[in-house]
Amino acid sequence: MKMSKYVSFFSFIFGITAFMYILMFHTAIGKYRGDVVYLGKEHLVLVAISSLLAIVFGVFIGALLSRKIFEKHAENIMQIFNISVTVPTLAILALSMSFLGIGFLPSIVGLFIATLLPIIKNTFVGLKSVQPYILEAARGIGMSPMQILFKIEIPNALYVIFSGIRTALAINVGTTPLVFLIGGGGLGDLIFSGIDMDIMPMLLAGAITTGILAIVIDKTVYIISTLVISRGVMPENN
Amino acid sequence: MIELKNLCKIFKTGNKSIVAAENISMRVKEGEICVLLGPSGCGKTTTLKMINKIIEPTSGEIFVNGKNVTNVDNIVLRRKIGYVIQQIGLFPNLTVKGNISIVPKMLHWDKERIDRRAEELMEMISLDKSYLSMYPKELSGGQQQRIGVARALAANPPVMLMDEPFGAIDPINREIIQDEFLRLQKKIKKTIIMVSHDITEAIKMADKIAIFKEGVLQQFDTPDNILAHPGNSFVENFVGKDRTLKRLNLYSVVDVMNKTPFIFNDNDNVCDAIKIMHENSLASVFIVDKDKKPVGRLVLKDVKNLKKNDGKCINYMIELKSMIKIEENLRNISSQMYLHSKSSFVCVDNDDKIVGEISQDGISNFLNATYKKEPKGYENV
Repeated sequence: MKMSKYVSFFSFIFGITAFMYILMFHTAIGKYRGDVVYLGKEHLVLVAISSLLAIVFGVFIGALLSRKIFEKHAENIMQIFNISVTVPTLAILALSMSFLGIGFLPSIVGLFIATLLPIIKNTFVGLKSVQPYILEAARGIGMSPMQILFKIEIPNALYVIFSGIRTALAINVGTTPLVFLIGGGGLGDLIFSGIDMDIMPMLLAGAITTGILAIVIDKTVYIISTLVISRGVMPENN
Repeated sequence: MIELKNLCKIFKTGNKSIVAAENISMRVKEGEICVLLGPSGCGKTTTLKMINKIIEPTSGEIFVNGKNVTNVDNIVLRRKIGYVIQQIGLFPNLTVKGNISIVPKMLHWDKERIDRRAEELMEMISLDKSYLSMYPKELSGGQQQRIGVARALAANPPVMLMDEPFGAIDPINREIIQDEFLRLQKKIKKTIIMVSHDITEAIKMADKIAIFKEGVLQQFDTPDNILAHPGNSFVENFVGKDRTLKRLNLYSVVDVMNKTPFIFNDNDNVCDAIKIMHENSLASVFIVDKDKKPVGRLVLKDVKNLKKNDGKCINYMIELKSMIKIEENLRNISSQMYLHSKSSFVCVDNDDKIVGEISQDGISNFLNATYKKEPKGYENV
């Protein structure tokens, strides 16, 4: 079972690498090889920093909202979050720029905010959906609230939390090209320049690489989730 | 030992207050099972949950093994009290071993001791060690229930609280698990308070029954006294009109049988037997072989016209169709009496040797004995 999962993961990585190789060495896109590597790195840094921050804060805020002290207000707060999801990511970046100027910092902040909400939402829902009798059993055998949170609630909510993280990362990777518009760099540079100058291979070099990054990151997070989430919590066909 | 003194719980919702438990006082002796019984909403679960402070009492005191625990820290207290709930509540993210070693881990036992204890517990609940690495969702309901009990027993707490522990199991498995639990309890002798709404279960499991109605303790007594002498009309209705039949469940053959019946060997002269039957006005006697195993019944009206020297008992007896093991309960025996239209049976031990005789009259007299004594009635505390 477990072996085959790794085999499929590595063959997937191999396939992607081969695809990129052909793209870079046997097509017109290959002309932008240097740019793809340089901007790709920038892109990855933006994704990594903003999404790690979002995961840390998102899980923390979600967990906080699921505590008893927030019982009365949590639903209302979640409603506000749900409405904020409808704000277009481009608008979030524009807002970030109007407060923080242009460059790296406003890009990170904008991406962070766009990524945060699905993580908060799934963490909250995941923790709330742990059956009350499981919590009663935990209390009844003498676990402290902290022990219950870390040993029972979070491990049992991990599957839902991870699906939130995957959704958030997909949004994050997809939004990152836009930060070029507020001076954040990344693969958006190739895409927007390609559009403006009407150079198709340049546009594709940025777009295809962004797409592949999104797929690889999603697959990687999935593999991590199967390692972290207890077999007892995984749905049957996983 | 668990003692409750004037325990009260008042829930406040808005400006209304609901009394869930009113002045509950009772004492459960060490090694006893006490069943809290009543219709839903009667305060039995509230009372149970106040003991480990899942529900904080409004007033009153609780003593566990003589120590006042009213001001003991909740978490410290709960680790010393085993707790089993109806939905079992095994932790899905942990293996069976993770589940049953969670309390010892919190008490900082070393790894070796935890491993040893885990294996010991699996043996106690008669499950194979290979289950230790499985997850709760891979087990059947009955197996999960056993693991739930094992988890509660893990750190060897002196007392256990059980909230309808067998409620979620199908009736056939419930019987099996109840029997298993009683066998286990005989070995471990914990002080147990258990909530139930099933009078049959209560009669089977309890040393003491506490009946509740609307937050008030109605009667606290042994199952037999509850059934024989209900303290008020509520208790009488609750235990049912067939309460005398329910009492049959409480006793086994060995409690009631005549331990010195008249018996004859198969080679004895039939005339001796007739003489004894006449002298003691018996309708029949049992015939045994040389190993003391019962083989037949000699009925007086079949043989009373026989003259002297008419031979051995074995030639005149009727062969026995059924024998009764002494650990059978009286309800089963009564059922067999109706089935075979017999008013008496021979009782044998596990080697099939005769040890006594049980008769309908014997059972009636036994059940009636309690009514001739002064009724004990409401035993408070």
